[in-house]
Amino acid sequence: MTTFSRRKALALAGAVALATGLAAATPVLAQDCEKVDLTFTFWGSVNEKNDIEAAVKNWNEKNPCIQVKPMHIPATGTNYVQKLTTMIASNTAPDIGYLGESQAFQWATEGKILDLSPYMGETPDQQYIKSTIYKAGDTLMGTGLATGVMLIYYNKDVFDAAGVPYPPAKADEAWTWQQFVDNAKLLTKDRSGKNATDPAFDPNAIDTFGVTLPSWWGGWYPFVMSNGGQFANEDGTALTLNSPEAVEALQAFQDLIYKDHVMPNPTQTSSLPTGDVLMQSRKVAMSMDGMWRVTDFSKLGINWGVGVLPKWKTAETVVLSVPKVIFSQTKHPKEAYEFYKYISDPAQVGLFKSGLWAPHEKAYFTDPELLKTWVLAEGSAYPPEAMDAIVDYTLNHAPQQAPVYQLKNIGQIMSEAVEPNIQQLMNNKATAQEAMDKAVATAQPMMQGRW
Amino acid sequence: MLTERPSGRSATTGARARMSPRRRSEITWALTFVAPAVLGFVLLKAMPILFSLYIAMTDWSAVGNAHWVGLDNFEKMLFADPLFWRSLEVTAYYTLVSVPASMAFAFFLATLLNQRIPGLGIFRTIFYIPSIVPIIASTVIWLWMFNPDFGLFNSVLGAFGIPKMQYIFSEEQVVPSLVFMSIWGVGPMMIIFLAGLQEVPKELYEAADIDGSNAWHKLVHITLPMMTPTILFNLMISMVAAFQTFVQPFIMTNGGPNNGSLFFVFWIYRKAFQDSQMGYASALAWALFIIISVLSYLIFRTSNRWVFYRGGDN
Repeated sequence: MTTFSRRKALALAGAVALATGLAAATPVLAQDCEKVDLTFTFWGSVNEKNDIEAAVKNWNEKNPCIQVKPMHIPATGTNYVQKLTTMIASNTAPDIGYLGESQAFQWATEGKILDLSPYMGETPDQQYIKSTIYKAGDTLMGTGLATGVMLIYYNKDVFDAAGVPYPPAKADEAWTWQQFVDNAKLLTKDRSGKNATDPAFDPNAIDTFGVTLPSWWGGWYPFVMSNGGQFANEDGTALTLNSPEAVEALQAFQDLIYKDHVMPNPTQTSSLPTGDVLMQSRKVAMSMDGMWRVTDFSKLGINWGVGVLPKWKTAETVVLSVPKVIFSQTKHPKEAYEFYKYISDPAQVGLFKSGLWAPHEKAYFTDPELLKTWVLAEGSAYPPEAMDAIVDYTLNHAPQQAPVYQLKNIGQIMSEAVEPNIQQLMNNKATAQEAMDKAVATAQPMMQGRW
Repeated sequence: MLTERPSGRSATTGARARMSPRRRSEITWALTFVAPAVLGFVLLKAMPILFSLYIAMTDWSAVGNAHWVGLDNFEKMLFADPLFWRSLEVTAYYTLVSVPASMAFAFFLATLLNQRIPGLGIFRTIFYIPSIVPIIASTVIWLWMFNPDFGLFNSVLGAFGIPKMQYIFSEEQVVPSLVFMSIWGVGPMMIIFLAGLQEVPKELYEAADIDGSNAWHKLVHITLPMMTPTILFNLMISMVAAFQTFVQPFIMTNGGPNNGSLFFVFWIYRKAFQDSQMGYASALAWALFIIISVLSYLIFRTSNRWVFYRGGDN
């Protein structure tokens, strides 16, 4: 009964070859293994798509036994979620994929996301940036695919022309909010060239704005935190955005538009191009945005730099990421986890070097050799001050995980309670106190605690 | 033989046996041709519709297991969800204004285009063209025209010294702006009115001319009464379409500002695919179905008081 199958013979031959140190010389035998097929879904621009597909191709060449099929799904609107919902409902879920946080957490509780605790060890937070580890109840969903902190980008030429010092790159030297506003005023010019400190300045004919801040939570929540405010209480049963600290920071945010006249209002913003193009055309001096914009700014051919956010009490920023998950329908969890690690490895994926992604493993922020795989790589897109404004800032000045990765039912809380009232605030229809009182009251029945 | 029918409890097999081969072949072919439509309706429409009624009674999230919750979703909708009423208000407001406005404008255009004027074909084409532009494309163009800073409308109004308006960027103006936009797309309605106008018998106008009526009298006493079936048709179609408005909030406003354009169908979509509340979204869809059915019923019930059918008793 000793049927010595061809596969076993080959496996043995492989083992012998390995043992005799001939592995390098022996071509990989594709038949030498049970071939495993994995599907990987992701979104992103054309550049991202190309980079990811190149990384997957590279993987497939090196791992003939684990073949990955990349599936790019545009994320316009809720297109990606819609597609994945359908795939899961029809039992054809991908093995690995990006997943927006509000779906990721919900699907984890439905048992659709693989618990990675057996793979990632007891203490993943020692290895990874804390903000990028996601846990829904007992399920460790894994990490984000990369990280990105909120920063200030600026056009050095506009600063030089106005004689204003550049925003500091070191968190310890961060501008106070007042310094930030004062400098923004010096940078804001009307059509006759007067700046916003001039009594004859015309706020209805602004040519260059001092600053733009995004209206989504990444644009205002860091300032709430910096002032000691919080999104929600400890157990996640109530929003606390109407606390005096949060209201002070949000009122100052509104004042940038309507009192200090250094920032465009939402209507103006909607008709303006994105921050990088605005800065290129000198319509804005500073723009707050995520670290992932480095890739765009580096291609503009302008004299740009990055700095840390202004502070209220503490110099703080927030780290953003996108959960990267393995779906529990996968038949090959072990192989999927191999690829899971690979696709966030800066040595393998060009997006780290080109300034779209920052790594999520702590070692990449401290080890000089590993820093050379992204920020210090040859031909990297990062400006020199990135060692402070991105590396140190991410590692040491983003102590809190953003509320979107912690609160249950965050999608509904954001879209039905918080965002409409932030719109009221930014349209000058309500003061920060009024808007946030309303947001807190509206959110009350939606609050379901923390994960 | 062909007209013979099985009577009483006689077995159908007996009837089939007595059918001529030709009759049988006819029936076979008839069923064959009807099958795709019937199967398509049953599998692709009727079953999903019934299934959605079932999931409306569950808390299904589309990916997990569904749990029966009975009428909880409907109770939540009516008593615990301010956005249900908000989106209903927005949608009703839009319908109430856009339906009469676009019908009046379409009727006006149809009347003009029913005259014997040179270049009639060109004018008819011009007014119909907006309707063949894909809605996404036209929506994006309107987005630009509504732009408060660089848009066409404020530039034109500015030339007359009228201050800038915010259009779709203001909670109060967003619905009126979308109504204005809807009037631009009245082409199909205009064509239907035009067809209706050409059905009005010429002899009625001739008789009126002999009696010395002016144009206004002819419009009110001949054209309008004769057009009531067409008006009823357009009213129903545009009412249902207005209640199902989706693309405008989806592309232009994302339901904002401050939920000022939170149209009902857009909100169903958001519940289903953003918040993964498929059960609740199905309940909302059924609520919309009930609302539209009731309104349609009311319009039909009152129609015998104002719709005049030629050849009818009245």
